[in-house]
Amino acid sequence: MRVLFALFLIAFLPAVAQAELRVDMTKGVVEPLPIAITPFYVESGNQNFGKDMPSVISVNLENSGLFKPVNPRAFVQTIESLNTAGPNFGEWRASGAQALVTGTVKAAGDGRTRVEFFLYDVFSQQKMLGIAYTTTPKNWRRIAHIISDEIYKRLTGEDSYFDSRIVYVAESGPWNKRIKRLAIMDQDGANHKYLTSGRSLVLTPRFSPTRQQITYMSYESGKPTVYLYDISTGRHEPLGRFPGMTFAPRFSPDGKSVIMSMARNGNTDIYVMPLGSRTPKRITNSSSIDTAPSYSPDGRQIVFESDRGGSQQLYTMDSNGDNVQRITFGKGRYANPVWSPRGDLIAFTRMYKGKFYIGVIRPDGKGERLISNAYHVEGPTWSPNGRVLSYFKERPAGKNRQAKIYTVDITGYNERWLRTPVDGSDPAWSPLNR
Amino acid sequence: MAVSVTGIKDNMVASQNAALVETAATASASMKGAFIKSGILHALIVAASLIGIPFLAKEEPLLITPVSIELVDIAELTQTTKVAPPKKQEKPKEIEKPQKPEPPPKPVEAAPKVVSESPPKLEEIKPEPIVEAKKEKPKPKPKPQEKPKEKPKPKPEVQKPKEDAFDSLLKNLAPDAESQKPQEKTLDETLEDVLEDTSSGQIARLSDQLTISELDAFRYQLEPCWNVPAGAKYAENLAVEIRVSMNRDGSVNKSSVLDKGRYNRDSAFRAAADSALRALRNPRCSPLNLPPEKYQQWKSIVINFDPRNML
Repeated sequence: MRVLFALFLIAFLPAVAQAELRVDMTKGVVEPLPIAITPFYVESGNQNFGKDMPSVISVNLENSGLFKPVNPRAFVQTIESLNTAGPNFGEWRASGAQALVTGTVKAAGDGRTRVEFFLYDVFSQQKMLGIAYTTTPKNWRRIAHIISDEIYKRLTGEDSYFDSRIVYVAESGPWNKRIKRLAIMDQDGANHKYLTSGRSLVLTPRFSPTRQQITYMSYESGKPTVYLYDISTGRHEPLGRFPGMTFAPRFSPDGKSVIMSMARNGNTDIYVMPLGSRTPKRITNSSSIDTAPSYSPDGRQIVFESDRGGSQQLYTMDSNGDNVQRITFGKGRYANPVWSPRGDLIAFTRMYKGKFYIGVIRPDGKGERLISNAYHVEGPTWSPNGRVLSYFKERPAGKNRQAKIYTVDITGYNERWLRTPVDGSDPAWSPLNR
Repeated sequence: MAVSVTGIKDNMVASQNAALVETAATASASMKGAFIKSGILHALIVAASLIGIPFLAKEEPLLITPVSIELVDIAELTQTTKVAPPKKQEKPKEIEKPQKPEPPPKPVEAAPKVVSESPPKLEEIKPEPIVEAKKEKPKPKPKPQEKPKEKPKPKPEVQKPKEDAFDSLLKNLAPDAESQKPQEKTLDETLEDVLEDTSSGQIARLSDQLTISELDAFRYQLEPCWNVPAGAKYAENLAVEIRVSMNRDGSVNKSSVLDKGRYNRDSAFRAAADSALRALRNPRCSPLNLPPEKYQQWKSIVINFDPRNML
C-alpha cells in the first residue's frame, strides 16, 4: 500500500512542486584549496622575514594536503600595492586563488618584531582574519607556524597542528649494531636535536599531553624499563623500580600518570602509575598478554591489545578495567592502538598475510579502514588535532634497508616522507606548543 | 573341456537369438497399426496448426508484462553529460576518486638545523586580533551575512549518519573489506523525501518545472567546485543548506547560509558552509546552466550540500 502511495506521490510530484526549488548536492570533490600566500611587506626590521615567513606558512599548508599554494608567478598585484590599496580581488581570482594571505612586518622599537597578517576570501571579497603578534625576532619561525595554524583553523574549522614537535628514535650504524637515540624536531623537520646519547637502546617515546616531558622504554638499566625525560632540563630517570619488565608506556590525558605494561611471573598486565605517588595500580588481571594501552582523550576509557580471545585483537575498557569490549574481529593480528586526540577514531597496526597496515577504526568497532601498507609499517601517532597520522616504514633487510618516518592525512591520501638527518622510527607527536 | 564349454555357450546364444527374432516379428505386426494411428494424429495436428481450429480459437489474452519498479535516487543513475556539459570546465572530474593525486612522498623541510631550544613561552607571543588595524583599508569591510528573506524552515540539524557508504572519498586498503556496500534508500526515506519536497507551495505548470535532467546537469556542473569536508570530525553531520538568489544569466546574485546560528557557533560547520559558498562563487562553475525560460522556477534555490554519501 505504501509502495502505491509513494508511486502516486512521485508521479504527481511535478504538479505539486514547491515555490522554491530545492536541490540536494550529494557529490563533490576533495581537492586542496588554492591559496595565494604573498611575501610579507617589511616596513622595518629584518628584510628576510618578508620572504621566510610566508615560505614556512606555504610549506606547512601544502604539506597538510588541504591547501595548494598558488605559484607566485601568477600574482599580478605587488605587495606595495596590496599594502597601500588593499587586495584587488579580481586579479587574485584570476590567479586561481580562493583564499589570500598578506602580511606586514615591522620593528616594534623595543627590539621585538610586530607581525600582522590577514586572510581574505577571494570570492566573497571578505576579510576572514586579521591578527598581529609581537615577539622577539628569533621566534620568527614559530610565528609562521602559529599563523599557519590560524589560517588552517579558519578554513577547515578544525584545530590545527603546525606549532608542534615530533620526538622519534633516530637510528644509525649497521643493522646488527644499531644505535638508537631519542631525537626531537619541529613537525616540519626543522630545529632537529638529539636528546639521548645512544649508549643504550631506546624505544616507544611518548609525549606528555600537558608538559614538556617524554616517557619511553630504555635498556639503560639492563632490563626494559620505562623512563621519564624532561625536555627543558634534559634530565631523565626511571619511572620507578619495578619487580618485572615495564614497557609500552603512555601518558594519561591529564599528564598526571603513565599507563604501561608490566610483565610479572610470565604474565603481562596493564598498570597505571601516578607520577605523584609512584605506586602502580593494576588495571587488567587476565592470564593473557594485555599490553599497548592508550587512553581516550576524556580519560574515561582505555584501548589495548590482548590475545585473550585467541588471536591478538583490540579491546576497550573503562579506565578502572571494567566493561571490557572487543572492538576488532578482522583476520590477522592488531597492535599498537592509539586513541585520536579528537576522540572519534583509534589508529592501529594490523598484520595480515605477511603485510603490515596502518588503519583506523571507530571506538565502537565500526568503520575500519586501512590507509597505509608496507613490508613493515608500524607505530602510528596522531597530530594534536587528530587529522594527520605519522608512522614509520621499514624496507626489508638487504642493501636498501632503511627506516623512514611518514605522515598521512586520515582520508588515506597525501602520504609524505618526513625527512630526518638519519633513519627514524617510532615517531610521537607532541601536543600544540601552547 | 574348454571346447565343450564354448559349445554350450554357442548353443545358448543361438537359442536366445532365435527368441529375439520371434519377439521382433510379433512386435512389428502390432507396431504397424500404431505407426498408422500416430501418423494420422500427427497429420491432424499439423493440419490444425496450419489451417486453424476456428471453434477453439479465442481472442488472444492480453499479455501483461510485469514491470519492475525500483525506487532509487535518480541522480545516482542518470548520465547528464550529454544533456548539458558544463561550459567552462576543461576536465570533468571523476567524482568517485578523490582528486588529490597521491604525490610521491616529499621531504617536509630540507636541512633541519641541529640547534634547538624549547618553544618560546606563550607570554612572549601575544596574538592581538586586528579588528580595525590602522593599516587596514576600510574598503573590504566584512559585510554581515545577508539575511534570508524568508525564515528558514526549521530542520533537524543532526542527520542520520550512514554506516556504510558508496562513492567514498576515504581510502581503504582493507584486503577483506566487505563492509562497503551501497545503501539504497528505504521506502520510508523515499516517502519522507517526497513529502518534504512537496511541502506547501505554489503549484507551477508542468512545462515550467525543471526536468530531472536539467536538475542533474545543474548538480553535475557544480560538483567539481564543491570541496567536501571529507576528513573532518563527524563530517556526516556537516550538511549545509544555502539559499541562492540567482541572476537571469545563471550567475549567483546572493547566497546565504540558512542556519546562521550554527554558522556562528560551530567552527566546523562554518568551514563547511564557507566551502559550499565558495563552490557557488567559483568562476569554474559559473554561470550555471539553467534554462532561461524557466527562470521563475530557479531564481531562488535552496541547495543542500550533504557530504554523507561520500564518507
